[in-house]
Amino acid sequence: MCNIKFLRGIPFALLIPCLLIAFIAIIPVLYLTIRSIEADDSTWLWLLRWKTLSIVGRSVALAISVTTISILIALPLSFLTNKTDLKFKKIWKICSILPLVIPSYIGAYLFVSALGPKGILYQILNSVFNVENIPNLYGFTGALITISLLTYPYILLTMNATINNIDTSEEESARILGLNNFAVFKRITLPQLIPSILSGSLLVALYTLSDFGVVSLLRYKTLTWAIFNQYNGSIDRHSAALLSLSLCMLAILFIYLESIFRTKRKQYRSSPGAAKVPKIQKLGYWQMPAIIFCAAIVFFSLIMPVTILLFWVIRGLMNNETIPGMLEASINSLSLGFITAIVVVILAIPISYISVRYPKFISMLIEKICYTGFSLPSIAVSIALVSIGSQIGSPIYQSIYMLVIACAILYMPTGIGPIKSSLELLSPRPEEASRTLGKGNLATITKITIPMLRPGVFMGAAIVFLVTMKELPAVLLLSPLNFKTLTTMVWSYSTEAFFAEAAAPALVLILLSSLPLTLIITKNNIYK
Amino acid sequence: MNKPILSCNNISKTFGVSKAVTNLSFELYKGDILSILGPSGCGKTTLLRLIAGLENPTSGEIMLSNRTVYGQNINIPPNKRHLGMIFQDYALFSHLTVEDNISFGISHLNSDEKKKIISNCLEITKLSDQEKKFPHELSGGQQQRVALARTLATNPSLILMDEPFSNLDTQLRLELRNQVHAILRQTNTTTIFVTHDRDEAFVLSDKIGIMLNGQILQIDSPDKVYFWPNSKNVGLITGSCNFIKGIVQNPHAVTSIGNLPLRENNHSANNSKVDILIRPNDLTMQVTPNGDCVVIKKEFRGDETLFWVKIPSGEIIPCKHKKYTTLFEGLKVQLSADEHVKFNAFSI
Repeated sequence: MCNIKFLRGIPFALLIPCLLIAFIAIIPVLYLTIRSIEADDSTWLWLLRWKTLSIVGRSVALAISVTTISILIALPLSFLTNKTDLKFKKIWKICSILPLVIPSYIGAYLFVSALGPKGILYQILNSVFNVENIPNLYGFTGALITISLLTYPYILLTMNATINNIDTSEEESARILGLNNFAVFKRITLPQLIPSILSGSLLVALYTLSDFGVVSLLRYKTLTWAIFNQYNGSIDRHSAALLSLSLCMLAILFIYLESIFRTKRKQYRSSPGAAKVPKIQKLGYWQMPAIIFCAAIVFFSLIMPVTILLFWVIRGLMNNETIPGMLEASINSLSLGFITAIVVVILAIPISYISVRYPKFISMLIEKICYTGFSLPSIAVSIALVSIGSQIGSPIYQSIYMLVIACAILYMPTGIGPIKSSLELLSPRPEEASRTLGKGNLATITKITIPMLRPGVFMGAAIVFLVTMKELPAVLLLSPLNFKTLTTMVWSYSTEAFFAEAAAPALVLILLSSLPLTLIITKNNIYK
Repeated sequence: MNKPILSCNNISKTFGVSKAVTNLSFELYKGDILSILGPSGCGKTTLLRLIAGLENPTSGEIMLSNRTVYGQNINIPPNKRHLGMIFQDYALFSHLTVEDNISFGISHLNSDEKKKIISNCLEITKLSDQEKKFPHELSGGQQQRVALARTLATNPSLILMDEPFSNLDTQLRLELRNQVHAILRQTNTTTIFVTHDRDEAFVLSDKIGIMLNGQILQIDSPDKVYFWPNSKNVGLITGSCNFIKGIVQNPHAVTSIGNLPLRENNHSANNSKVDILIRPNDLTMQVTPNGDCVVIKKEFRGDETLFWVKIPSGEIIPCKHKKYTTLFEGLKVQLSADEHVKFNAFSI
């Protein structure tokens, strides 16, 4: 046991690894900060130019627009599939979550391959109607549509988790007090949903802010694009670091705004008592419009992209095209996801444990530091690590360890989330029982806590696996030479407009990442 | 006299500014069953957790079997205190079978010894055909007995029980508390259990510690704490009662319902003002048209009927009637003390 006052109670055997983990998690921010401080005046002036500032503005505009559209899609979807007698409810409920498996850069590639110049639409229109020009959907519009259609499930997921837990007795008493359906939704249901909408929106906003694939393929010049170009194009690493740091600041600003809105609202807890059957609204005349809405969303976000993808795959198969290195890339992707998932779980367990069981200043601080990966765009983390790696040299630089470390820093929060929440649900009594039965701290953690945490650990590992498989910027910047993954294949083919060649690895990637998602969906009782 | 199994000297525990346990001292001897009785929030659970080592006292000293487990520069962790604890929600290990739960604390023994202990514990707790089941497959009463078996297996010098029967329905609670009592007696296990149910405390324990606001007000045998409470609060915690004002005229007290004989042990100075504790069985009630007391409330409780009676001074006291009666509210009655009953008086 520690004797320093503010550390009292946390066993050293736990505290020291946790401090180390926190240190690793904060390395990218430290590095970027140091680099920015070192930067000379001209670099700063360059940053404050009108052009750079307008790039920042574009990033913010895109993030806000995407978030707004995503809310507009997710809110009605969540209400319809949970609270009404919508027909084929289960199908809509599952299909509306599935776009999560389509990485946004694959979405963008499919968008370009379908609607871009020389894309499917152009080819059809050109051959049938002899049309020469089609409207240009590149830039803001294209990025907005693509990212919104693929990220609204983040809001939907957090909303679905809450909407059925709202105490129906509150809605019932509001009805008895004379409110109509709409007023009940507006005054009772919606206010209780706002925290979950906010946290989902934050995920969407951060995703958009850090997205690199879509904006590059659709040529919308945002900060991520600028960072990548600075990194690739100039020898001076200061400007890339400075841009990365600005991106991080933006992300932190978003998190801060969300926390302000959130604390203004009371956290709701449902009252005790027997579980009540949620009330189902009759849609009546609105049944058909509702079905059309759901069908349209599912069509554009899931069916259309998958169809285009299959179109390219089948065309490739019919032309007997073979894509070299598919098996190797698949194995690489799988092992990267798998190793990262294991590493993250190993790191996340002690962090979650001290933050739940020893909620003191130091453990809160450690946890907050480990959450920085959540706010840091992966391109910024990668820039930091690749620079550190190049200074250290072998065996770190251009090794798979570096890539795993980057993904672990980025996705540690993703793993901590489910592990921490299942630990919070776990009563400390069994652990105390174990201690009174003669087992020490470590024996108790390994024999009682971890086995009882299994569901949370599996869930955390599955999500980390899923997101790591989809990760693009870190893989692009940190992969060892000749280390091909499915993401890098999709990327290199689609940036060079080899749409047919990109299709096969994209399909495999989607199928492989569907596996953990199925696990997540079936384990979450909201989808039972 | 043999040495105590447990002794607590002046232990205190504060959480921030709130005091959970204040300067508490007591001793416990081999085979004793002590219950700590008090309202919720009085610090009883904290006391158990301090003894177990799950919380550390702010000050004071705890000794178990002549060994200081907490004191100046000494803090033995719970796993080395060799005591057992049974939690309110049992805290069974949901991922382990009944058998593995029971053997959890004795994993250092060889397999023959383990088997012997397990089968012995299963037999005592009547769980012999349940050993392969998981906790969720058992009834509440069975889970409770697994928790007991798991604790008994380590042969602890002292078992601590935190409201062990509060999660069970009434019928099962009565049944199980008799079973547990029999097991504790049979194994001569020293036990402290915490409860807010006075019947449970009376039935199960050799001694009852009455706890309020972090302090033990009185430790005595069940009948002593009921009939000879050392303070008004102990009287209130140990049973239905009320207090009426009186003036001491040894060996009586003069009250508005006549002279009440006082107990020898709490004679106060003549003419001093006292509060007199009235239990439901202390007074006999007779219906008479010119009675000066009025029945103001009738509580039918099945086994008995309790009447709340307003006496001339305006004070209200409980009174029990042995037989079922049609006495109703508003009726005029006369109260009189039984010959052999003596009363507790508390100086104001």
